[in-house]
Amino acid sequence: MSSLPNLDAARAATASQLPLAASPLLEVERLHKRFGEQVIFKSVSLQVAHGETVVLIGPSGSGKTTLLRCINFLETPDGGAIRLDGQRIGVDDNGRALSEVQLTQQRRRFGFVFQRFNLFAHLSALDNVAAGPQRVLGLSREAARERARLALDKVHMQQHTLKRPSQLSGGQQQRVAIARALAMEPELILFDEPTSALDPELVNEVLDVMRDLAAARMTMVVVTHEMSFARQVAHRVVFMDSGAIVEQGTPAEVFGRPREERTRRFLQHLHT
Amino acid sequence: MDWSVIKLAVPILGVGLLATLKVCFAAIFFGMLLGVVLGFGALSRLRAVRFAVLAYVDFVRGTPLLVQIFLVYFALPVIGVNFDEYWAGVTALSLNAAGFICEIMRSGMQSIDRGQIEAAQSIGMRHRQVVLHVLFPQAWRRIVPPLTNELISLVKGSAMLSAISVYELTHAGQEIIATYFAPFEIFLMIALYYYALISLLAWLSRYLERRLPQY
Amino acid sequence: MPDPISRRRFLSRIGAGAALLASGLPRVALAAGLTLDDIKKAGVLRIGCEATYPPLTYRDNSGALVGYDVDLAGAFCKALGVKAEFIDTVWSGVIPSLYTKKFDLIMSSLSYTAEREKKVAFSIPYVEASQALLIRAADQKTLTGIAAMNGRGLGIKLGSPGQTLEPKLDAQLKAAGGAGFKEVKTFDDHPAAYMALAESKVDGVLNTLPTLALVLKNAPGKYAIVKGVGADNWAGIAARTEDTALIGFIDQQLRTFKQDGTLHALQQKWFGFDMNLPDAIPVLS
Repeated sequence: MSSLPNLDAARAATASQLPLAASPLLEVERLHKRFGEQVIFKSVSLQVAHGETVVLIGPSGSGKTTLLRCINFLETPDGGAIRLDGQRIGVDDNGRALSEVQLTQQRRRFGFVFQRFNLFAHLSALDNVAAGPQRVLGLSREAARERARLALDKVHMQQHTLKRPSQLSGGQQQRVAIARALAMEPELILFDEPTSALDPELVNEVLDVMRDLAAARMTMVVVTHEMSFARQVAHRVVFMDSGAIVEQGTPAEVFGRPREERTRRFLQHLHT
Repeated sequence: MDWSVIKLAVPILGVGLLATLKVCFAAIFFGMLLGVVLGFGALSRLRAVRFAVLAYVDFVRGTPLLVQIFLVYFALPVIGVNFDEYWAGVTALSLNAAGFICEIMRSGMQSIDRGQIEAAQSIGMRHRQVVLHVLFPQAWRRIVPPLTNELISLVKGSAMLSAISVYELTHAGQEIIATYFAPFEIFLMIALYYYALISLLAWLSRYLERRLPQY
Repeated sequence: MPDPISRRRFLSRIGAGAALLASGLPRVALAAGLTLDDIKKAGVLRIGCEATYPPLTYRDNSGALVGYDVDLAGAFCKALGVKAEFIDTVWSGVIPSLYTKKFDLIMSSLSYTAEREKKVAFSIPYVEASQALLIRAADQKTLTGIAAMNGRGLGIKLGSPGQTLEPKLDAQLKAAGGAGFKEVKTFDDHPAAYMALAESKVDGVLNTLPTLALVLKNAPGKYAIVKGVGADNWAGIAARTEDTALIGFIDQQLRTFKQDGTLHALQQKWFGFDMNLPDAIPVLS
């Protein structure tokens, strides 16, 4: 009865068998963003299909993280449009900003995983994950906790439900953060450098969970520096530099046969 | 040292101390109530509310407590609000404390890492849910030390209520001095009584701090 | 960043600072008490007063201290060849302040009480100070005597003779079969008590008759006075018990002024009537 992605069964499926839906789940259309005088990006467009895992790579300052944060309106874009399953996000049909109630309702459809985990410090892992279902979705405390237990199961954290974030390692915290996103049953999950703040030995436990999610056809947009993950799990890799998408394609195309000079230079830096 | 006056003063000052406690308990209760409400108001999404709260805090911080006490006791009656000295004192102290407690709460909640707010927003929480369920519970521990300081200030400020004839500890001592002319002994005793009371408050605060979980 | 000052200049600055500080330190009086020569040498006679006590000591519109006491002090300081310096003080602590040598005399109508007579050396009476009761004008018909204050609120000033008188009045009311005063509120100064009276927080305020007469004059139609509250009393000028030479001088001057019309002129100017001042300190129990 749970609509959480069935990860065990999906582990067998390979990433290449991606059934393409007719229209994209996420459309980013000519997005502008600036902070004061500084332009972060101008007219960026991107489409993400249902069940697709898109990995954004590029040097720091390229605007990848800002783009990600614009998608669920943690930052407000200055121009362009975001559409989720055809519906305009953040503004109504007349271009006016939505009320707080409407915007927060739209936000529920996205999951967001932060670089610094941002778990609620005063709550146990279980309550962290149950907070959304209880407070936002209006479930009873018991129902919310049940859902939270299932989500924590999926990220292999069922042994640690009562622990506080301060008692968990970085990798464990990030997995709880992923469970927190999953418990809201989002249509897609955004990952902002999910392993950049982790010690190297903890990175894999998080990447494994993300791998499982991708295999279970969760639509994901991931900003990361973990190139092996991109190579193995991404359906599409998007290379951004200085506020523009320079090139995109399958991992084989972007890593093996990069068309642009800038892409080549960036990839070279990674190997040195 | 005039020991006879000291002996005589002990019970009289005791009565004064009780009166001080009565005033302070009431003022702490109302002050905290209003202060917490104002603290949430300072974080309101509505600009008008934030402005009103800030203006109130500004006034309370920008005028001396003694003047505020006189305003409540002597000036309010002119517009028809006539408190007796006990309630005037409690009101003035409460209004004063509320302003400072509001600031303490506001800065406590605003000092919480921004990532907590973004995480709450990302799962669809509304602003008031973020404040109530994420910021406020975490701010508690940070708030306790400055809150205690404010409560200690309140107790010391209650000494000024003698100016509007409230029979509290300082006033009781002043009356003994006026009759027996022993200012050194009496003021020393008054200081000791206040010190004992405030030390109790400070101990309570340290105890609370230890008990509250550290985030 | 200022130039580092030379050692010599630094020391001279310290020396100047110390000298400045020393000039402000209180003079240490001789154990035998002040002599008139000491005062003449200092060039000034310091007098403790309460600057909110018209018409004896109060401030006029320009903020200058004026009143019966100011003129009287001017008169005997002239005889001594020194200046009078009035020091505004918290009245409830005025006698302790006399003994910590903040000043050498107390004026502003320090009434005679048994306790005070033990503590200070009084001069002979210089002003009438019988207690009277100030009430709101609206209450004149109902509050005709002190007996009518039964069950009402009384306002008094901290450290005033009114405070000493209050328990006696209360006993009087109870002896007559009443419940006594409903409540007694003590204020740091009289103006605060008058404000409380005007705002109906109390129903009567005790103070000396001449002072209350001035209150009536300054706020016509607002208040009324009830007399016959206490026994006749007066106020004297006070000094430390060891300063016998000073008090002797004051007594001598007061007697002279009574004879040569100085006191009469001052009383007419400030009170509008002549006062009946006995020639000896009243003995109180």
